[in-house]
Amino acid sequence: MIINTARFGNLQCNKEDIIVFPKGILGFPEEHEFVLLRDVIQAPFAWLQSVTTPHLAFVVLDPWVVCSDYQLDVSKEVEERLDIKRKEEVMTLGIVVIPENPEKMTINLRAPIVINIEKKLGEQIILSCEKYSIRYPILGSK
Amino acid sequence: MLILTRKRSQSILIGDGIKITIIDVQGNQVRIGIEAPKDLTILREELISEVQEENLKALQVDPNALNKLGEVFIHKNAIPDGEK
Repeated sequence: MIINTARFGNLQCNKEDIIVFPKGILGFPEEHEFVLLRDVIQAPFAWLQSVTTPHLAFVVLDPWVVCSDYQLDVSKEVEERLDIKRKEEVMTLGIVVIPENPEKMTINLRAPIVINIEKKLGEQIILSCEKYSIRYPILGSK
Repeated sequence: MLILTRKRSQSILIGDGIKITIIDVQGNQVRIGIEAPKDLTILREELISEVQEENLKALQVDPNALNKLGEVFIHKNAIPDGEK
């Protein structure tokens, strides 16, 4: 199938690659289908691109890349909703904000995107843990 | 809504597993202690709108900044001592 995107034009994608977000992304409750694009951006970053809205795409990053002792506590409710049975099924992504000066880019560690990569189900969760920032400086705080 | 009046150090129990204690009251600020099963998500309500706003902000990626992403990221992370 073809996905129309604002940044990359029309992209050929497999239906099996679509990740379904039953609750959407926070602020975008109607956006239920996304694909993860890795080869159009510098690794280890990736784009989480909406299948239905061309301009809706987030830069995302594995939170452990910037915070090696990051602890992800997924509640039972979320595990059930995403049908998570094993840890190996889980992929976690933080949404990245890239301002004009990329040195000041931040990642949202408080509200990560949790994806069951086997079942292709995702959700943005908010962690109870107060120590994780919504705007964690990726390149340090200087 | 159920409304209860409590004094400092008094508590409220919700079901079997949740205890809410008024720790301190100062002016218009109240410190609240919550004991609840670890599995339960407890959030300041405004956190949800903060995350929604941050998501909106994340959509506005400066194309030039994006082009410099690799340069900036790899320089600072892979060779942290190289910049000195």
